[in-house]
Amino acid sequence: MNITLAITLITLLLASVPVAVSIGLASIAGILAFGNLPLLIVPQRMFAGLDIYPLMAVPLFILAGNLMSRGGISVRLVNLAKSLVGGIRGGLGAACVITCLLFAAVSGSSVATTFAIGAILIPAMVRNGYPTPMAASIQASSAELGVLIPPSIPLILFGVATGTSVGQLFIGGLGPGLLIAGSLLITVYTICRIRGIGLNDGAERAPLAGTFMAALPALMVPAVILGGIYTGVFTPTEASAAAVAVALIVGLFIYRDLKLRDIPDILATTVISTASIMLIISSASLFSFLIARSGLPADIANLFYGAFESKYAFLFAINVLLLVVGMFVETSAAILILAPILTPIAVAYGVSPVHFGLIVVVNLALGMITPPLGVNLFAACAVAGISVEKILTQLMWFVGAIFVALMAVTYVPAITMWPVAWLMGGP
Amino acid sequence: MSKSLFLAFEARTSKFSLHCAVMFLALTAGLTIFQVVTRFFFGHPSTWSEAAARTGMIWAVLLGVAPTIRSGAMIAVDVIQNALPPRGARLLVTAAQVLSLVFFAVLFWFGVMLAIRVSSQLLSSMNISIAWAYAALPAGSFFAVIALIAQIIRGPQDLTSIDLQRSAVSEDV
Repeated sequence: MNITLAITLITLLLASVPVAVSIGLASIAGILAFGNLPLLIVPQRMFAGLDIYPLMAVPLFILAGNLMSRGGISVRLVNLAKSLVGGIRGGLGAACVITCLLFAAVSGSSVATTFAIGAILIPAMVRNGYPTPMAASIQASSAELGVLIPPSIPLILFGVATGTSVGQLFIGGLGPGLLIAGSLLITVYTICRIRGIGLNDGAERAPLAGTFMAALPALMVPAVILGGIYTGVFTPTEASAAAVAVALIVGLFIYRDLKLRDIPDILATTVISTASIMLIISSASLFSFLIARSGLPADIANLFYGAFESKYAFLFAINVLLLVVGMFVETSAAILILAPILTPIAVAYGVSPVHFGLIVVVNLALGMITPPLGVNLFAACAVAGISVEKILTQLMWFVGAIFVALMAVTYVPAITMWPVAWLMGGP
Repeated sequence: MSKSLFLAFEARTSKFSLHCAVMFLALTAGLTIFQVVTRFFFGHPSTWSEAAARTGMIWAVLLGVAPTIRSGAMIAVDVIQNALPPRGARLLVTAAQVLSLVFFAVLFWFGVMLAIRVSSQLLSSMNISIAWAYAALPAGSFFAVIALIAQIIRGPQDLTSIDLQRSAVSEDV
């Protein structure tokens, strides 16, 4: 059954059948070929895959992010970041990293981050003498932070798929997120030093006090989300609802960039984004059910136990596996199908599920900026107006920087776990 | 029915589907906010609103499928498609659309059967049949089938414009 499932799935995916439909059709083929299950299981599992309370955070965080970017938040965050770091060498590139870090705290997605921030900062960088490929590379790689700094849709999916606390995963994302931001900042600074660019980046800079006050209401949203989850006041789903409410209040009444008549359009954009992800989630849950029933997870577990003696050898194998998977497979599908299989094995090797969740997400996120299926890469190139091939040589440096951070996140659990232990007294 | 008549019909049904999905999303967001408020100010969350919000989200997702198909925002791997010459790529796209059609037709049929089968159960903490929640699957699939037939009739659009729309609206997470 597993071979049938795998071959059908790969063939359909390559034939450019939508990911959600490919997973669903492969499952149907599996059921028909080895038919001791009725086809009624198809709608039943697909429904069960959506009927999960923590999943409601996904559409609501997408909605909050859309409300915020339409409500004038991106411009104010960009100005704040320019005031903060605009004065140093390569300050605009650094501002891009910092803005993405801030925006990541209101958005759960990296593509949304690329569009919201890249539309402002890529042209600004190009205007100030950054080569276009470099500007696009900085943007594409900084947007990774969108899925690491909470809220994060991939972390919600990991939590739902493995039964790990989403709140703890969110806090676990802080250390790796800051580490990657740091390594990107060093990369930007070094490249600017060597190539002599970014000398006049301070020119468009405004005084910090003014930009900070302007950005303060925008920073309320991450304050509500993070504060609420840290203190245990909110579950992630409640935090997502609160984020929608605060985004509405800030956009409609404080910044007044958002008009009531914009809202149906924002809702429609959110519906499209939500449907395209959640249908994948729904059919992946059917697929996972069939795989679990076939006994494959136990076989894979035995394979791992036989092949890898130590925890570190196992983690290295996971790094390699996920790098390859991340290059070719859509992130949410990869998490929903692989996480339930791999997490119990990781726990058996003594890796905490929260730490493992961050390894998986950082690892797969690298796939978002590597071809052939690098969604962030496509988004940044679309904004910058150049072809993907042209930025690959520049991009290598940033991929390298994130890779180094990935190694640190994988082999130094404290980066992920220390904030979790400190804030929550968790494991 | 002539082609253009069907396409006009599909424009209406997909728009209807989108409007309903938007209303369900707004309802879900409103109910979840309401629930946070009741938990904080009245000490206990209202139980019916959680089930209602979840059901609203499921309806929003499934009714969102037809407009997502229409706007070309379904996430797909297009490496092979991009590598093929234009004629081959068109053939591949049409084949993929036909396969999607088969999938949603299956989902529609068995979704109806399932909704009928579960109709005697009640939605948790609400006094209505759970079939109202399950019906989202066949309803969404119905509109998806219409949207797909229209895509096939419309034939290959300019592929680059589809790609741009996809990157503009789809979310990678």
